[in-house]
Amino acid sequence: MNATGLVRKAGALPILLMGVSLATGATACPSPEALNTEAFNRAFTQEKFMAGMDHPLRSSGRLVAHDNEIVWHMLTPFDVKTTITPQGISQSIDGGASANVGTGASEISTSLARSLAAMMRGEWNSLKSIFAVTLPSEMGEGDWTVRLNPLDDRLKALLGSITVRGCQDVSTVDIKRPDGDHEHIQFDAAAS
Amino acid sequence: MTKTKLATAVLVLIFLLSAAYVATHIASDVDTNILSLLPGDRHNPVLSDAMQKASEDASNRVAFAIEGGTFDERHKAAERLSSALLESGLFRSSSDDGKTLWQWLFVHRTQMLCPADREKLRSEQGTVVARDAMVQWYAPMGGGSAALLKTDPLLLTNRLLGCLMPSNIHLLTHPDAEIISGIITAPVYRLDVQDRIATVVAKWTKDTAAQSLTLSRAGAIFHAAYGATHARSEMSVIGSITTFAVLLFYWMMFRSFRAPLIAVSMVVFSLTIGLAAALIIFGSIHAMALVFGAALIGMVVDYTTYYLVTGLADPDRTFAARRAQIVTPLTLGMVTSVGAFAALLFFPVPAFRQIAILGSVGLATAWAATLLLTPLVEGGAMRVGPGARWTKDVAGQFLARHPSKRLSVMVIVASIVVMLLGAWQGHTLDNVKKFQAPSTELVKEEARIRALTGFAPSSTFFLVRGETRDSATAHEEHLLQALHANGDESAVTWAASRFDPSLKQRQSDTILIRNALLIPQLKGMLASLGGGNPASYEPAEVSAKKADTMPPDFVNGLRGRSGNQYWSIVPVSHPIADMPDSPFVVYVEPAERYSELLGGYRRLATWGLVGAVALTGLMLLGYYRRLSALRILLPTMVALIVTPAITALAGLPYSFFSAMGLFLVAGAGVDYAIFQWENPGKAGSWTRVGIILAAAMTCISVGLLGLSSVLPVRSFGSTVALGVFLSLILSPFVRGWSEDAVSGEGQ
Repeated sequence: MNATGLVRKAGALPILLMGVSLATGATACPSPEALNTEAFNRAFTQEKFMAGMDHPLRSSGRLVAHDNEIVWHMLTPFDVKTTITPQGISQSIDGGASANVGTGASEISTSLARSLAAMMRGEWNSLKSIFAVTLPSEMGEGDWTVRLNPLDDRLKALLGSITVRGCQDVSTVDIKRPDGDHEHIQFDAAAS
Repeated sequence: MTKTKLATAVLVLIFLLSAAYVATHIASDVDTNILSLLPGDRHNPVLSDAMQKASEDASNRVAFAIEGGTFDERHKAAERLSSALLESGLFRSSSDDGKTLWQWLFVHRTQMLCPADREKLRSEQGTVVARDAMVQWYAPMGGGSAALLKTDPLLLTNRLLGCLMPSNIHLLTHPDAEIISGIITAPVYRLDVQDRIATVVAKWTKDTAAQSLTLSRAGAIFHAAYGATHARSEMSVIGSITTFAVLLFYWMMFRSFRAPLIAVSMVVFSLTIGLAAALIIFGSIHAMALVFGAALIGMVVDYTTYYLVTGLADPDRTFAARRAQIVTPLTLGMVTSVGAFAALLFFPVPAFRQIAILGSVGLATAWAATLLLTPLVEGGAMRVGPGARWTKDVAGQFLARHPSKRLSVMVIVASIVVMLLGAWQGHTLDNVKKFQAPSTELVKEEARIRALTGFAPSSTFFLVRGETRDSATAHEEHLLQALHANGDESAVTWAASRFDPSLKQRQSDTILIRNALLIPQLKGMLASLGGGNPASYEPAEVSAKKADTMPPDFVNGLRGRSGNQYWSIVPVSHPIADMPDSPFVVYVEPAERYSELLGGYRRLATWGLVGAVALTGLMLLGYYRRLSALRILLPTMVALIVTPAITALAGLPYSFFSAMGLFLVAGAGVDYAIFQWENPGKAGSWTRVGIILAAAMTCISVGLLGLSSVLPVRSFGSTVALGVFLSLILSPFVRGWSEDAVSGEGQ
């Protein structure tokens, strides 16, 4: 099965934009394992580069997480708000009423949404059930980098490898797909 | 060479050939499917074939879940198990189905629509579909890729997959478990297939013993293996105890181990030829037929016993004289027993037909071997043992008596009372679900896999039929529409027409997709994206791979053809509130259908017994040419009436399998009566010893089947043991009754 095809309505999953990393060459960053954000509300911009496209596909929105609820809200170029709770997944378009989305093929979207929320929270141990997580062996000056490789073959074909960068918070997520396509997601700084 | 020597040589040659055939086929040709014990319904071949296919389709599926340990440990253990299963050559992973399904949907993406999308396009909402695709293209971690941009920019394949896949199926690996699922590619009810899969699982369990991993299994093959293990264990116990009983009884009768050796040799000789005949005729044999075959040991031994006992009466007589003494009753008894076994051929149950051949050929061979081979290997008459003398003096005396009129009346009254009580207290059982209790461990493991994967197999289904494949598919589409209108659509997990629609539906969807989606939406959407192939949905592009693409196996697994009738099954996962009314659709609950059939055949078997007894009566009249010969039937008839009543009072319901047991009672019971009839008075004293020994053997070997965990076997064993015992103690009634009881030997 082409794993790419398993993801439906993943476009409704906005990612919080975080400001450019606060880290500078002169400031030592805390370990990514020290990152522990239970709730957050971050703006994101994303660029998707694909062969055959005249220009990258650019979108932006907000990623909000608190308790067991994750809200992905893509604002441009489309307004699609997807809410994920343990009870299921629902979607609202252009501010309209929420409608439940089936749990079948959107299961992977839900899983990815939860995974991205876990990355933002620095929950690396929980991600180890889905990804091979490579944390920096020692902290140098500047940003840290965490690499994630899906353990599941279908996810591997869908996502390729993921690189998360940050300092005080996650600043960027880069996804490099096996077919050469890649995505760059940049987050605004967390509100203080 | 005399005729006798020639016949003996032929018999030995047949045995050698049979032994070679059995040795090379017994391992692979044993069927353990309990459904094989159930009657087939050839009155409705479409329904029969559909039920068979639904059963096969469900029974070939297997799933394993590995939990515990670390992810790496689980992942490596799963790879090891998966590789071992694939290397066995008996397993195909379901991930192959996923690839086939994707390819199938991809090449038919411009010809198929989900019901909801069909409604959207009919109401000119093509923009909604195009917008959904745009959202996916822009989404972080979305479903678009460069390859799909060239071939399917509207992401129609993703859309089809998303709406056609059942909502309860989990596509992603559970984070705390590794799931392996697939199909067993060989018949799961064959013992060798079960053994090979069990070996793979056992080796995996041993290799991973050091890790804290747990394995859950789901699939009919594991239940079949559980049942087969029980059957083998029961066969082993029954065979061992019977062998011990044979040795003990014979030694007590003849004070020699030569006699039991001869008897066991005759058993091996006769059953080997009977088994070979069943294997050659049917191609395989059911495990339960083998269990019933174990019961035949007692009956086969009877014939040898009758001959050997003639040596106790007068050791100085020649072989020919001894043989002459038993040839008439033995032949008559063999013919009536074979007739009773042969009656099983009229029942549409393969396992019972196998028993018919195994029993008939086995008994006929035992008869021939007793008359031809036993004198050759006996090596001189036996000595009278302590058991033989006691049996002759005590038990034999009882059988030799003329029952008094008073006793006769008492027996008749008691029989009527017991029969009425049995009819009042007892009940019948046709429910197949109560035949064998499943393994609690396997039930628990299946529940765990259901929780992890969301998949729950369904046994009920709609059967849809049509004159052509396309008309059957169209009828199925109408059924789904009716269920959708009634709000029952969620009950249907899989339907072949959803993945491979009718020609009319396909043509309609093709036009709708082109006019309401491709023409108005594609160009603008590609312009917005800034790339993509405008010709991606042109017929030439779409049909390029079509010729090489076959429907996924699971779609073919839902369809079939019986004669000129095409049909499909639509599995249903929960009860339907409003049943659609269509002459082409029928709702099928296999367990109920099998129970109905079994009830019908129980009644038929009971009437068949009446026919068998009547036929035996005609044979006796034909041979003896006097009306009083019908008294031979009296003990057996009383036993046939009283036995099910007593078993009912003991709490064992009357089933189809009880009726089958009564057929054997008829065969063996008439044997005892014939020997009693043929050997009255003092001259028959040693014959009666033979009858008692023979009946005891049958009661022990078959009676032990009454301890089986499988209801059909338990019913059969209890019925035969009790029926044979009653036939024996009632056998003096062949002499009629006198005013006062008198010793038969005193005549």
